[in-house]
Amino acid sequence: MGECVGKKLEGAQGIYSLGSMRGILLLLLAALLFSLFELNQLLPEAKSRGGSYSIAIEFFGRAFSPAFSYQGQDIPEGTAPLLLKAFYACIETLKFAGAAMSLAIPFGLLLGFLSSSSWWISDQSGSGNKKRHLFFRIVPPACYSSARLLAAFLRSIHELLWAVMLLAMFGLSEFAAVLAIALPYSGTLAKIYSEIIDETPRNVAFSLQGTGAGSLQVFTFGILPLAINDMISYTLYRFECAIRSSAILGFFGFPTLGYYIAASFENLYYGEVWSYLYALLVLIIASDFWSRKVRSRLDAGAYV
Amino acid sequence: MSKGSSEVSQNGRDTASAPSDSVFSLDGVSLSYGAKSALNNVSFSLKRGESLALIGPSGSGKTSLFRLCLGMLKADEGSVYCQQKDIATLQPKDLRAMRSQLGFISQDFALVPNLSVLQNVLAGRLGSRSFLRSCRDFIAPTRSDIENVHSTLAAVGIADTIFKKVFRLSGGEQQRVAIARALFQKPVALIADEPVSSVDPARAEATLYLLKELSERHNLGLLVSLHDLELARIFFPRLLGLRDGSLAFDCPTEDVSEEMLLSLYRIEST
Repeated sequence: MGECVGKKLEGAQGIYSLGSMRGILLLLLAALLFSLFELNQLLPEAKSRGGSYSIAIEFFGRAFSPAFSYQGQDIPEGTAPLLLKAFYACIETLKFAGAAMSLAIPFGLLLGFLSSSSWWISDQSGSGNKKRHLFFRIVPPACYSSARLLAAFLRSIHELLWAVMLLAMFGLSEFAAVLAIALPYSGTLAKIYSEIIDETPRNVAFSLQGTGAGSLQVFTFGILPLAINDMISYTLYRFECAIRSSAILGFFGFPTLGYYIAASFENLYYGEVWSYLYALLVLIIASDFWSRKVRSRLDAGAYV
Repeated sequence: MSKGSSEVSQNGRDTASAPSDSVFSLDGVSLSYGAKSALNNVSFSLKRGESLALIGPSGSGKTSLFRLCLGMLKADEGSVYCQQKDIATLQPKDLRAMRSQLGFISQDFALVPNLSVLQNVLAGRLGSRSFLRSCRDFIAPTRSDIENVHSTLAAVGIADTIFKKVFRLSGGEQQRVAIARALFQKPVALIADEPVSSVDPARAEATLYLLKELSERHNLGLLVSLHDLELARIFFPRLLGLRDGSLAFDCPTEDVSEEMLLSLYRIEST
């Protein structure tokens, strides 16, 4: 019996992994069927609460004919043309995103470095002294745990929730909007930065340690240069996310794209809504184009 | 190291057990990783200008031995001396200073590919520089720094690559950058961990020839681990055989017989 099982285990490695794959696929299929069933249950309920297919059709229909001028009749004199207003809104959206990222990056870097397990490369040789050993036994783990906890706290609260809390504290100020994006983003950046740093190969660090370099030197010249390209790449992606978040903060009254989208939506000016949505799309595509350019230059070793 | 032996070292054992002309020496060193023994009672020494090949099967403890020599591991028993000083008694600052005198060349070169050759070679001097000074060296190296790196690169035959990014160099050139970085430390010894294991035979010979030439020109101790026995016999006058963490032999190359080598690499039937 034991032998038989052993032989099966020896020869059935491929079949075993195929079996798990089948199991996962079946599980995914079951989840899909359950979701469809739930949607089918919820759709009539949503419709009975005032939802209408005709509104949806009208809204999505305007996607093919966005407005190039205001749909409303009573436009105050001196109001900028719609497309110019969309352009200004894009600039405001970018300003909020840029300001938030300029706060999130240094704070994320600091937290990321501290919450990286490779920050303190232990030196097992030499005599040292008791105070030093005690210091290395207490301080790095305390820094590491505190930084990870703070990063987890910051990113566990969504930017919209941060916005609600900060609006209550500071009112409708630009500071509140910038901070609402910067706080959770610094937590997310810290987590990703620390993971990138921890996954960096250690061979250079070991070699530099062999030349007599200290922990900070090993980190700065042996680990950071290897991790920096991935960190820049991820930061660029987060900048794209910050643009979206900045637009969404407009729903709270900040003068970003979301503000105009919400106003047009409330007036049922779907053509205007689509104009602003396309403006946001252009902004995201431009940001993507720029980040791709930067990434390709990084791959070519242009910056570091 | 046990507390008792450490006390002995601090009471003047430093110079008593280490040969006075040695770059570094190991005296009855044992090391284990948990229950697994890596080195058993290993003793040998290396003098300035002397070259020595360390041979032995994979897993015999060569890398652990190098780490001990560089002061990156602490021996469970015995002592490691670098220039007559017991490494176990050194304070962190002195340990760093000691390491900066040993040029280490790793098997995979351990270079930062997206930095320039100049910056990689300058990294060899980190041990003798403060953090701020090394930052300045990296960002804005002085003319004399550049000239020094240039002459070091010229010594290994790749002076024209100084401003190139490392990832743009061939494998052979990268290996020479690694050698240049070790040489830039102005070391008393070069330690190379299997430097020719991943290169073609012609380049392997050229690399060993270069290491030997540098060792002789600068009067450096040279300790190289090798898998190629033929190269070890051609280039090194003294061979160290390591098997299962124990020193199987330490003798002049001409005294190493075929039987000794066969015994060193024998494969146990399981």
